[in-house]
Amino acid sequence: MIKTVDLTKIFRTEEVETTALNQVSFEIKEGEFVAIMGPSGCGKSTLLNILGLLDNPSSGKYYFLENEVSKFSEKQRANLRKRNIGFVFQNFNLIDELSVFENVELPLIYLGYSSSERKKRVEEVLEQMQIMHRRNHFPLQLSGGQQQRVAVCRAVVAKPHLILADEPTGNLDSTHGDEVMNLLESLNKSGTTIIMVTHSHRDASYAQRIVRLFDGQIVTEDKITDFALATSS
Amino acid sequence: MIKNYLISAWRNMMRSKLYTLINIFCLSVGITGAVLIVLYINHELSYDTHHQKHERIFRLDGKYTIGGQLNHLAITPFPLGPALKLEFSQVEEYVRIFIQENLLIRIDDKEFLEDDFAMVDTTYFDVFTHRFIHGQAHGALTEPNTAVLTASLSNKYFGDLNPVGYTFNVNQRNYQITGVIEDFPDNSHLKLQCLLTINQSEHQQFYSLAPEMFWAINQNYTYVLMNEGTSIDSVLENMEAFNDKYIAPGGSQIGGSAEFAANPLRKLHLTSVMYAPKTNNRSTLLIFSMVAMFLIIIAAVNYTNLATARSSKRAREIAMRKVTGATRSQLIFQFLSESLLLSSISLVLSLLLVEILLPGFNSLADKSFSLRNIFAGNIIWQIIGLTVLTGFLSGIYPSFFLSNLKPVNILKSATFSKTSSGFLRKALVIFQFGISIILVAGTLTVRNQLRFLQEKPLGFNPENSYVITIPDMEHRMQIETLENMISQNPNIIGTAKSLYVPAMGHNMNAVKVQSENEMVDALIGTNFVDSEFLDLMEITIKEGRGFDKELRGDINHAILINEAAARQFGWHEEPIGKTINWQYISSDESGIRLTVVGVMKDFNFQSLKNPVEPIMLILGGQAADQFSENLRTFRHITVRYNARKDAEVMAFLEETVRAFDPVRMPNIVPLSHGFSDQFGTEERQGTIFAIFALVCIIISFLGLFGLASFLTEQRKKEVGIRKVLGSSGYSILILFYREFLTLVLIAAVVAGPVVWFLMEKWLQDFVYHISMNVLPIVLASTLAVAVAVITVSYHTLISSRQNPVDAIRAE
Repeated sequence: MIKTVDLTKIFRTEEVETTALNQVSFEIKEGEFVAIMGPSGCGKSTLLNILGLLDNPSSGKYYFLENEVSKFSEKQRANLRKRNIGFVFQNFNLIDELSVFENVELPLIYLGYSSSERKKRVEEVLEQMQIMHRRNHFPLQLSGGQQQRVAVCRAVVAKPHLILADEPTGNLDSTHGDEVMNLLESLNKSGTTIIMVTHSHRDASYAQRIVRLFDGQIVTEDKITDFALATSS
Repeated sequence: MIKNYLISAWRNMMRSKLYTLINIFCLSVGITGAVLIVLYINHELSYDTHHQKHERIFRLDGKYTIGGQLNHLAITPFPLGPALKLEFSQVEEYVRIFIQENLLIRIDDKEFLEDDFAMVDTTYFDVFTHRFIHGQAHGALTEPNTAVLTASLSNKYFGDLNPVGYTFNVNQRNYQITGVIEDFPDNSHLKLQCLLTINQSEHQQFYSLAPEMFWAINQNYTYVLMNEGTSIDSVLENMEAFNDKYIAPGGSQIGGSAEFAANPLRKLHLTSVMYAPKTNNRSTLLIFSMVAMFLIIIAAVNYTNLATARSSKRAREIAMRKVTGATRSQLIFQFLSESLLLSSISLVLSLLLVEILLPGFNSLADKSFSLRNIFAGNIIWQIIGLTVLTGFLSGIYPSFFLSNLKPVNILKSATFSKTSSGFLRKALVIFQFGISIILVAGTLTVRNQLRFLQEKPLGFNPENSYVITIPDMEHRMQIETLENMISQNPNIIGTAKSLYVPAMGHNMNAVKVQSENEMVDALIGTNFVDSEFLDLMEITIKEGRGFDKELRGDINHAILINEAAARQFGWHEEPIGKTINWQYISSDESGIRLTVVGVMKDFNFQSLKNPVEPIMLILGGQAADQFSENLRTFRHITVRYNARKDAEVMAFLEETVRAFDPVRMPNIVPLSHGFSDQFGTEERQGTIFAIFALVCIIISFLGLFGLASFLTEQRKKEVGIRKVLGSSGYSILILFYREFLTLVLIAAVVAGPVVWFLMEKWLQDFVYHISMNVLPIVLASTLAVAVAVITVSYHTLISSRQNPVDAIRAE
């Protein structure tokens, strides 16, 4: 589903040049749950942004669903993104001025769904995530866990092939964190590919594979069993 | 999708009430101003379109050259209309209009003194369209001595009665009323009260002139109706033979020539020609259109500035919309729909404001608009168009700016704080204050110019003087009796009689003047006066002497000329003794030879819109029997009175004039009357201009208020850190002042030359004008600085007094 070859991202200012990703090559198959880990500033979020088609690499190739997308224009990326990718962020990134329903509805609007179809789909997913009773509330009226649940609803409402989660539990206590991770796990079990950036070993343990980054490079790729062994030893 | 945009827009507006209020207020005020101006301009451009055949109707103007001097006049020779119809098949019909002032109307035992009556050809209603309340257009003016009244006049004379069939007396002649028409609409270049038939043969006799000379006298307007499918140019381009046949015989006798120009009926109101009915200025319309655009742009600038400054508040929404699939064009559309929503709300409010402000605007602009006018014709579409334009102008930059934000950058941090490029915002503030400075400095210059005109010495003393007008010949013949009656009063300092008084009429006549050894053609104003006139008016003799009633030789022979005449005729040395031959008022072929006995300093005998032209004063009175009775018989007595007895003198004069002529209403006005309302239009426009300048300043003030409020909030952390590091509240204030005041000062530097250039051009249109100086620009800039200081102070004082810990903790 995803394949990168020598993916490199360099940020340039007038005086400083920073290599955020340095020739990253790896592959993710459909239905996988992959965690990306590494210290702050190692390039995790940059990688996630490129994988999520929010940014283009400076060089290298990125194959998404068999298409080489590294040179795609913003419009092409937006088009591909809205059909195939859902995002979950650490700080939820819900739009404060829109209600729970309207936030979840947003991707369907841009996909051109009819009003009745949107209503049906949104209500379905809200029911599924058990947040239906809050459908008319605004994000600021919800707890952190509830907000993240809404964010997950928004990420999955268009039934994307891939969900990218950037520290999805970073702003949540452990109970709400577990709740969100269980949601992601169940989505993965139903066939959705998930790539998650995290600092948390506990969250990473939900994944089937861990990609470890350091200074913009992949240092190890562990199967979760190896990882479990490594941490237990 | 649009519903989602509107929901988001509405909730954003509700979340930031201060900014929403500022935006709506400014946009409403901007649109209100623009709506009023749209009404005004549409009205000005709609003149005379109520005539069904208006596209085929033209007024002929004459370009007359006499003595090398070209005069472009709206009045034409009496025989022009019929001759054109005779010679050119393209001319379907003509109509001539003589506007009559000071007519004495008698109905039974009632008398009225009326202006704005017109003698017209029987063809009037074949050319012009009017709605009849009584009677009908067909045949209304075909019989001699018939009249058609406007509704107001009919009401004044006859109340609710239908007056058709009644007769009334106009200047000793009976007219039968054949119809009543609706009043001339506001947007008619002619505003008449009554139409009377003219009789060509009588008219010709009145002047006792040979037929060819009749072409040399211009007194009436000539309108032609062209046949459908023909062009006026086809007539004008073939006027050579016409001129040879009709103009040349009379023209050669007075050394003059004439050409004719045609003005479409629709454009007459905006075509300023001498002796034309009151017109408006095209440049005024242009200036008002620009003011309307300025208002809209300034309001739009506020929106743009606030929207981009506050972009960080929308950043997350933009990022998430992009992440969930919004394209840039969808976001541009979203933000444009927000600004359009706001401008639409503002339109509704502005219509309410227009309703409230219309009475005041009407009295200022001398119009009678109502809200109904907005919904007539296509005005509402123009206003909707303006509203859409306002929304578009407001939203275009923010929409491009906001939609260009990169979600990657925004999502990196929870507190995204990138705002629009400071450069653009600064440029917009400079622009806004620049416009305000231009308008304020322009207003001050207009005021200075009008004050200058009001205070300009006229070359005679118009103070403490009344002018009594005697309209009818019977009483004019006995004017000395009235003068004697008036002179008895101890409050009267002096009296003088004349045919005309300054700025209340004069004649221009073709004469021959002495030049080297021959007599050459020239044009000169004439007035008949008594021997007291000069002293009473306090007109100064520069050379020679005034009239001497003891010298019998002065009567019929002596004239006084002004400096302008001496200059124009080339009489730089020894003008005394030079002669002028006034030929055409005498049946004697050699004419009347008049000799200059004195040269007067120039005085303004016309309105200050005209330069001082050559004029000669002739001793009038019954003894001046070489001149026609109509000229030599005085019409006015000018009375100089004791300054503190104004009311008493007026009462006395009214009583005396009534005793002298018991059946007529006394016509007494101050001598300054002719000068008092000559710049009324400019004064009204100046006031409107001042109001719009004030509105611009208020909008700019609110925009800066909103911007300062946001930017100080955004720099809270910086202020906190500066204070922690030891900065005083005072130096924080200076920090903010420096930033905003620099912008206002740059605006002043940019606006200065612009306003200088524009106003100097405007002043050139006045014959008498001030020279442009920097004071209005300095004052306007000072005002702008003061506004900026007040605006910024409110927020910066709060900001500079804050506890630094709060600011830092908040971050």
